Amino acid sequence: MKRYGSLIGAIVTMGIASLIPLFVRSPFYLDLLITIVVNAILAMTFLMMLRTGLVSLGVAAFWGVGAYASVVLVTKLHLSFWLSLPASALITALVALILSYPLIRSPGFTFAILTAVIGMLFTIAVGNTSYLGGYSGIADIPHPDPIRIPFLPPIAFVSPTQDFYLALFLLVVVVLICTAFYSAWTGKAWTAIGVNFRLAESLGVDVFRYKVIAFVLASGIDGLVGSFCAHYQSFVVPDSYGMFATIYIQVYAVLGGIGHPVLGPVIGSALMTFFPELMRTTRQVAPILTGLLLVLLIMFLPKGLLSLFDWRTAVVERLTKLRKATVSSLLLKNGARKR
Amino acid sequence: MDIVGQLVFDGLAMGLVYVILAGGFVLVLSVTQIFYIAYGMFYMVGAYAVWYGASVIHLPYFACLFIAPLLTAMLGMLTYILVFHRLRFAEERFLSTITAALGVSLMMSQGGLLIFGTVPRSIPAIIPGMISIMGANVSTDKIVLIGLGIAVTLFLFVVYEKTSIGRAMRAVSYLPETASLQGVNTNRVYTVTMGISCAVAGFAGGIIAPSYGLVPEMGQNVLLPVLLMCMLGGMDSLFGAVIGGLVVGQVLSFGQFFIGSSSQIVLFLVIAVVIFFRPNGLLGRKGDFGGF
Repeated sequence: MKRYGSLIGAIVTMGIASLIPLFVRSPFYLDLLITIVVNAILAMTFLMMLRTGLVSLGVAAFWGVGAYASVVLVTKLHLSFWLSLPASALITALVALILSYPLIRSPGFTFAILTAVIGMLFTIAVGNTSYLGGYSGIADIPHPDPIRIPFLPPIAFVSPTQDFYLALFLLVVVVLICTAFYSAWTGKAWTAIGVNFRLAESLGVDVFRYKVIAFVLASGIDGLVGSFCAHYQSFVVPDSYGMFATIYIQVYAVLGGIGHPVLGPVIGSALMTFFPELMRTTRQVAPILTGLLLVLLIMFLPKGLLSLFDWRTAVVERLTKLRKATVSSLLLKNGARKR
Repeated sequence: MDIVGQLVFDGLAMGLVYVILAGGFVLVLSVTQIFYIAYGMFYMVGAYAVWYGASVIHLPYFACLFIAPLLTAMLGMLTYILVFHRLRFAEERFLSTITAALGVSLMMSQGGLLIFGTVPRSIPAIIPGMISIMGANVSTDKIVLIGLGIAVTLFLFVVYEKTSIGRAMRAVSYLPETASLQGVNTNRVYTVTMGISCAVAGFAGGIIAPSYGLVPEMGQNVLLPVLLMCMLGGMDSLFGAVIGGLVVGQVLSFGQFFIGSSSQIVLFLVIAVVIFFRPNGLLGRKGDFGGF
């Protein structure tokens, strides 16, 4: 029973989430929910790379590659959305595969810097390409085409409700992919590399290969989400895939908790999306409050919001620390007396 | 030849501002190991403080140029003492400090908007007039800017290389634990480093105010070029930051005129190639930051 606990929890959560559109009618809140889902998926891919010790500051660039690939496939080559969604994921994964050789060969900090350069380069390169619309981007991207199933009314994607279900479906797919890879031998190899890559290498783990797998898989998922995002928002602008977007994605991951690869990003992105909206009545002070919340959270909960629920381990840790401190102080006192 | 001289001076003026900012950024990153993305905000605060002093309170410009860095230095030390000091031993310190820095950056940018308004501002010229050097007409303000920029860069070098606190900074940036075992007060070094870097950023904002206008987004916009220069020169080398700043300033100035904005793509590609072959930048010593 215990083995299936998390599975049942996930199914129940998804069931509740799929009922949300029945109660939330306003397109504004549905839009917020879709943003949360998209950001959560992006933060999950960030954590997937982080697990192997790769700090990528170019997540948003791969997101953008997916978005632009899908836009070109649909508007210039007139493909169907349902073909271009997986195609753009594949294209992004291919781009990541080509870039992975020089990127992953370089040591930790250099990888972060190189991905940051790629992140900045993407905005400028797209902004200067007139075929891709330059800095003003491409507008009027068609929504996903309706799905026609025989003997049933066609499922059209016109209102935010259907888009929300599509986003939820993507989330389920991504979570399934993530958990499959984490629980398989790849996940174990990733964790081993992240904990101590030299030890992992000495035990026969092919560090380079597993890092490439993590990088390419994460980038492919980024591309998938990028494609959905482009067609949902119906416009793409290069500036929204810049370096600050990546920093925000990283913040979602850190706020939820780095140790929780699936639930952490969802919690983090929900908090960072809803909090500014809650504070909207304070108008211009809202960003200041958001900044303050960020600073306070990271100061007092450096392991993320979900570490609140690990209360047992936290309490035990505190107790052992206290005991050690008392013991060492007593020992010190005795020693002083003896002398 | 006229146009070349003009471009050289424009590039030099902008490049020196970049040099100062990159120098401060490198100092923070190499000594305190914080990837300080709120750094551009101190530049914005310095510029607006000078504007406020010169145009609203009508203080003399050079007095403002003295007060503004003090203000930003105090702000910077305050952020270190209140926020980053607690994160010294956090797990995944690099990511935690980025998150905290983003919070600080949000607070400062919106606070700046609230206090100083959203309108672009400008300061009247300090010494009006033009000087022609080698066939190029350069406004006197830019000459003042170049002079002050060189002076501040020299000041950074003297502090870092010749004073006792600079020696402590170098020791801490090399091996923090060993430095504190040798009797260096690491916390004081961190605080002072933050103060000096933020003062320098505020000064850069102050000297740019008369020649180029002020916009509220200047803090965010300047961050990417500064990062780029640090990457080019090496993340822990002050001299590398100087070279990176001058090169990027000239390349942007010439490229913008002759090729247009696509020159930036070439610049980024060149920098990516440089980093690939020399992972620590042109003059960097070690490639190991933030504990990974």
